[in-house]
Amino acid sequence: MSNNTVEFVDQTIRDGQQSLWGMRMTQAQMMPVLPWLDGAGYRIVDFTGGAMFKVQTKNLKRDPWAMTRDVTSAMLTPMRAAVRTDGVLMGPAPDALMDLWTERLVANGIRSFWVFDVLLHEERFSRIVHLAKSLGVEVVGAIMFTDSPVHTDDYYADLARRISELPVDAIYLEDTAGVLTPDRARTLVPAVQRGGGLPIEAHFHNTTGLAPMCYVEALRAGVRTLHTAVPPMADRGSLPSVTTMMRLVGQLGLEHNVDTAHLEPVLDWLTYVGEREGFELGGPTEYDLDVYQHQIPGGMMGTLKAQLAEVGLLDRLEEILDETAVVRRELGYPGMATPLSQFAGIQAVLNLLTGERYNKVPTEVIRYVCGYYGKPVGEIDANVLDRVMDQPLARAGTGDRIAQPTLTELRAAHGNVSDDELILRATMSAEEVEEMRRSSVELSYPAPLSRLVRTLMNSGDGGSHASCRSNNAAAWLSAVAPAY
Amino acid sequence: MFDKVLVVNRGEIARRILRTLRRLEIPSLVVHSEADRDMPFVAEADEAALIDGRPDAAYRDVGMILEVARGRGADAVHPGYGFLSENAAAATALTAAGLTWIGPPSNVIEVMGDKIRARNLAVQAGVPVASGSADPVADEETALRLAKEIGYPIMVKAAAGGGGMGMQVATDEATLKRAFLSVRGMAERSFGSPDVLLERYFPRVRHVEVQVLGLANGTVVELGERDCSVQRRNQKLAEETPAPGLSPRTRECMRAAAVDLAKAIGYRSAGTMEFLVDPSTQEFFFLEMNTRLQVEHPVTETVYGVDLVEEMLRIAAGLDPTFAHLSPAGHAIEFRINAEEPPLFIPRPGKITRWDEPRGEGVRVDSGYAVGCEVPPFYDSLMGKLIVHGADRTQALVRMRQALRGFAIEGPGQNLSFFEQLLRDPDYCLGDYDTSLVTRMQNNA
Repeated sequence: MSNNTVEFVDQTIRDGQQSLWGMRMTQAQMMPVLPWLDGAGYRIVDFTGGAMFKVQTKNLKRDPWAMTRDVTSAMLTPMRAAVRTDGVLMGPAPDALMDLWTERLVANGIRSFWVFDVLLHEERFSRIVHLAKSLGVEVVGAIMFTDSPVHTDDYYADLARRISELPVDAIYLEDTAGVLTPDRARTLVPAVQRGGGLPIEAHFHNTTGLAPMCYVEALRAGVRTLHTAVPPMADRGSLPSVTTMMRLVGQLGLEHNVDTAHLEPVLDWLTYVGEREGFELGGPTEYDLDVYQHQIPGGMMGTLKAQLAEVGLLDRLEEILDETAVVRRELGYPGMATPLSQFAGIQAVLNLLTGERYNKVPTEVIRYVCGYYGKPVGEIDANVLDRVMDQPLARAGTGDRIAQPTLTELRAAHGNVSDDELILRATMSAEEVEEMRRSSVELSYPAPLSRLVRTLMNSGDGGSHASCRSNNAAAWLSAVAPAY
Repeated sequence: MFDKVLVVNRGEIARRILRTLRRLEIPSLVVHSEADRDMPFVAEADEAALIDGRPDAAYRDVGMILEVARGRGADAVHPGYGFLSENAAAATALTAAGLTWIGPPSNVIEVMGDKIRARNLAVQAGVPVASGSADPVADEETALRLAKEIGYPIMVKAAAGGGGMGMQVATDEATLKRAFLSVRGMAERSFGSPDVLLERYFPRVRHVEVQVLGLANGTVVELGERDCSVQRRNQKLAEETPAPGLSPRTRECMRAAAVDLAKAIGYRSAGTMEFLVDPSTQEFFFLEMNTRLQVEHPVTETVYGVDLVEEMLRIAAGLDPTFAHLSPAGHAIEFRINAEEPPLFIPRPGKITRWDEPRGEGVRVDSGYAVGCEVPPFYDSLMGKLIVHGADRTQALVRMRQALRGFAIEGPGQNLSFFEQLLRDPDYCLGDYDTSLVTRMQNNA
């Protein structure tokens, strides 16, 4: 492939829906777009990770492993998953479980990983990268950009250097909160290139409307892989729109292999689902200075809004964002990516709801402060540090370590279950898993009447494919999806 | 003096108080938690009473403590430091029950515990306080006007806040506007009051305090100053007296100011006036008063040759002090030996399997634990204090270096390696340090 060709990684069904729909897209809503995405010419389609597993199990009551198999088997394009090296969900996971999680994702059809660890705990990061490479899949090592007085270009160059010492295929540079400016991109991207000497995938959230400009700067610096989403899952807190970027790529005299004809049905379908469900649709992004204060990632913002709405606290979002900005500074500017961004957000919520700041400190904030997640980059406010170190977990001297049961011990603890089931049971409550198992999930989604009519007119058959079902997806798609 | 003194504390300070009581042949009684059952202070007291329940109930539950005092015939209570020592309500309740509180009167504890009232009293007594807004700042315009008078950098903080959290430093008008709005919003949400105060901010500051004794006859004497700038998380790790790097005039004025303020409030017992000193200008400002015995009191005792616990007992009993005049000699340094691991100082409780204390000329160890004891996770991580005395600072540093080599602790975590590093730090050795020292050492680690 020529150096003039830009490749795209699709984020529509992963970060796009996480940022805008709080990861609440059901399998039934997702299945119809897969053949279109598959045929569009993407290098990779990003799909899953711990957050999706949690939402599918807990909120949507769908077995995430079954869904993973359904989705990956419907696609020829390699599907990607996230592996955070210190945990599957929010809390930390022992090494044995992390290894099993990585292996089982591959066994269920994942062919590419983006591996991340915000503070780059080298031992954990290295172990997962080596394991994933030994399983024969692509591995990109992620750098999560955040803007603060301590997050300099030199800092990121050093992260890139440390990642490049491992067998990774590329560096994934993510601006989680969308706070990168074109000016900073002009220095940051070359710093990461200089440090790592590896190809870079750019993944910049368009929270402030500047991401396309930053992508242009990245392209000018030689980056040839961009992460985008198909509208309406693009822009606002999500990734830039693929159509915008295709146009800009062309304007820069570069080429790409994405087929626009495949994108319109995706747009149509997801607009229909979004409007029907009352989900936020991506659209023009308004510039916002507050984002630079709290720096909450797009993906987390979607989940946070969904969670606040569920407990009737959405009207306090503004206050929570302000408090997050203060907490972020006090915690020494944790990189605003999972899980550290959630720690700052949860602490901010607790500070507001309990009425006394740091009166209640969650376990994971204690672990972060004690260095479990790696060395905090900035200085933690002395008074906050004092409060945290006074918490029972810190006082007990176990804030920087977790129990490390072996796989045999984990299996013994969770009964005679499959490894896939073991991962669910080890990371979620038995109640959540059992409730998911008891619930029946609708795997079909009602098609819009206009589409139904069009389908009937085009196919001329009896209209038996008016809904999408994963187990008869091929039949439904035969009517509405392109042949290839 | 007293028939029986109840010590409401634990660890090294309980042992320290018991040592004086034993020397003065005053019967002693301690209360203790289940977790502290095997601690040396329990064995060393003449009597001990277990208080069941939460681990801190033994040292905080006034009702249960009073019951023990009555049942065992104690007529005085020494609270040590921490726990009830600055709890005005506890002092009032115990005094009302007929016990003698070995500390200042409860109304003085209460007044000096209120930062704004304490600051106002300091102003009235002519003691310098850092320039700042006396009243809450109502709006942005007022903040900008006041900031011009105070001078940048400015510390913006919630009036109703505590623990220093959420404070922001503004270096110019633009950052002040942002900080003002941000802190006001946070104050309203977290403390239910949008009141914001402005204060002058000092990028470099030394923490120096003056030991005072308000005597039974109403006079107040000072026993020199201590530098407490070696801090982690705003908590002291090492202290020394005399404080290095103070001009003679600053030293003299600060000590006089401490006496003036203590007199103004009618202080009785041992107390400490804390000040901030700007090392570049030698200006000093009143910070707060600790109305109790201080953890670092041994450095003062060593240099002044007095037993501060004994003086507190005598003052509480209405007796004259043991000394007619005070004559300090030499230099003393204290290191706090905590069950925590540098560089982050993470607490590491555990069972002590080895505890070898150093000995030698000018070396004193005040410890709360012994081999076989468990450092529990429920309390402060302080295990003991290493205090050395020398003819001058250089000799004290040499003795400290030797003493540190003779200290061996195994089982729980400990911070001896931090002190070895401290004794190699050029700024510390030259006495040219401020409160940022430990952070700088951590960043360089």
